[in-house]
Amino acid sequence: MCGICGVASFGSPPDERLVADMVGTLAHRGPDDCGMVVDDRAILGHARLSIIDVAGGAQPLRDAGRSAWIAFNGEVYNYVELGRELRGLGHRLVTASDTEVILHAYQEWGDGCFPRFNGQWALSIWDRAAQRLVLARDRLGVRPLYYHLARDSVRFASEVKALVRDPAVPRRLDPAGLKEVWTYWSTVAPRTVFADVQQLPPGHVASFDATGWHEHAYWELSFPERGAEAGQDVDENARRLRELVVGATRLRFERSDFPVGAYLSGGLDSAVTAAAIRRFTDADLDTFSIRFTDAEYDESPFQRLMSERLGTRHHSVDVAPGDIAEVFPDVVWHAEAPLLRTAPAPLFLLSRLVRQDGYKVVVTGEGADEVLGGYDIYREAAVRRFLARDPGSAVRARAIELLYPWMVRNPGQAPAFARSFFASQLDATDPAQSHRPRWSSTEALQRMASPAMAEELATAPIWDPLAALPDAATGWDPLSRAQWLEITTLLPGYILSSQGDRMLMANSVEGRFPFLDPDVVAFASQLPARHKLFGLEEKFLLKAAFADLVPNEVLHRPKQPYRAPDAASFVADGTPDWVGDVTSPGALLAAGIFDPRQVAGLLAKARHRRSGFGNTDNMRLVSVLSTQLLHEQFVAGSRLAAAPAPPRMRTIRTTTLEEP
Amino acid sequence: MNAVTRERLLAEAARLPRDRDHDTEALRWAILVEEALGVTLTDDQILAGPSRVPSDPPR
Repeated sequence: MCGICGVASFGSPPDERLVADMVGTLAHRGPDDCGMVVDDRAILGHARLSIIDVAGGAQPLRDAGRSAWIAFNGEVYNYVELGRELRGLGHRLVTASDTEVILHAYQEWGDGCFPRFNGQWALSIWDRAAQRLVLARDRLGVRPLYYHLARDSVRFASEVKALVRDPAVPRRLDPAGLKEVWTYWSTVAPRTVFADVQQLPPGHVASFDATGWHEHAYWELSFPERGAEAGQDVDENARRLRELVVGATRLRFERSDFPVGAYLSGGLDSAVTAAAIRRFTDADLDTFSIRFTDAEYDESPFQRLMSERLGTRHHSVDVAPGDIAEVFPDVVWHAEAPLLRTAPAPLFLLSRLVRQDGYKVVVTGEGADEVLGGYDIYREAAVRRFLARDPGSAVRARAIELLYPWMVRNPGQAPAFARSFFASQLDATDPAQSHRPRWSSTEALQRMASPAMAEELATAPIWDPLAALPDAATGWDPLSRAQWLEITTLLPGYILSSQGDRMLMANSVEGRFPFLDPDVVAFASQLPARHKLFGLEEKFLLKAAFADLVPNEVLHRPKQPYRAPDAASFVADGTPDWVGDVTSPGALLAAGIFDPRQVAGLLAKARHRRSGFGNTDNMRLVSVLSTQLLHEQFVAGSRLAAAPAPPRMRTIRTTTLEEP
Repeated sequence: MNAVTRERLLAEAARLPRDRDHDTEALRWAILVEEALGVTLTDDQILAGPSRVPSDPPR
């Protein structure tokens, strides 16, 4: 994995020192090498994490005809097959790198090359012949790509911290972006929380030339018409899913010049990927896990079970609430977004362990819940639809107990809870019905805003799910609509970003995600809904496909969503100094985002463990702390000191082709 | 719901651990049937569980 950045300008010449500075800022993404190519109208910069073809894959890289240059972050796993095809078409490839294959694929197929890629990427190509910058991002948003568009220039980078090295890029939070986070848990591309900074949406390609910015989608997520799913046979579907997941896992495990490890959470998805590696490759396997000191969050017994069953060398990092508080400012610096949970913090600590133990690459189970029907939000929506068909039925109301067994132990509370949560917003005709409860509860965060911010939030236009849903969605199964919403909002904006790429890259580790393989995603999308969510049984087909490789204790354990201690992290064992700093009256007034009285009240409530400090209060506290940190680090600029000069920077000037 | 589809659902459901509690199993079955076949069951049909075929036409 790597970091990319650059400038294309049809006005004043691009600034070489700026791009060098941007590259230096991305050193955590690419500590192994760095380079820059300087042309009259464009400069591409690259910080490299060497994974494939260390010797030949240095970037930026040019094609043999010297008409195009590429700076690329990611992996295209089918580069071997594509390279073979391109050689057959007459292309001369001189390295063993996937980067060169990508560039030649672009030369051969133009923008039509991107649907041919199986991988995860954010890339930039400077097409000298066409005088055109091309930017592209993988289908689901694994790799990030941000840009700032001016009248006759564009700056782009893997992370916002590189973009804002340029004084021309404003350092200001966008109320509309904050409102999206405080509704959908993240912004929805192209929006970010930073004013005048956009992100290229997943599955899109953009070009910038003398005529301006042009963007289009090369891929879209789609589902079949309800009742028109291709395959109904569960045995055949399970066989095919197994074949695809094993193939995707092997591709990601084997195509690396460095050893690849695997995350093991204790849940089904990472158990499947780790088991597939052990069964279908000859390699030993190192697995990595988080062990929480707080038993409420800990899954280590299941991690140990899987490790022992698979015979892996197992590594784990112990995480206490104080550990989360200690690294939280770094976590926000890397996430570059307000957070509603502390869950990214243990993942930051885990990738640090991976790196310390000598690994650069890990395979993880992310994506299975989204594409194969694993989330509680899908189950909750099914129960709400069940209730909506006869809201007065006492028999149907008992379905809530299937989701929340504690209600059986506290039956007196069950009817009230049922009415307040499941009976509200029971509009079965609403295409976004599945997500309304989450969005409604998250919107409560907006009520922490200062009066001035509240005024801005009230009128800020944000992403509209009903406008964004494809027209065909009205004919989809309700689960498919829910999946589309989850894959469009939470997956790229939070799961793959704040919990994924950012926490891995913070410690120079590349994550690889077999469940996001395009063939797996395409197959899963076409499945009958019941083969994903079988009544209330999540990931039904995945369990069927891998029942022989995953022990029953993991296969049939109740789903435990990955979570970490939230408010307790910041108040349980004393409060870190930085918490007091960012929530001081002065800091709150300077940022102008939150109402100081509400923040003071929330902190007092947290410190005194007052009853009623529930889920929403936890989100409020984490949101306040992370947003204040974001403001301090990026807007006030406390972490934007001069980046260290990148070591061993190779600068290539196309006009003279000097390579010092 | 026709007999072929009921059999398919029953065969697929056999892959799952059985619930010891009849009412729990009946609720799970009812949710599955309504989601998979687009039908709406009565309370009696819900409580009957997998043993009864509902007479409601599909929605």
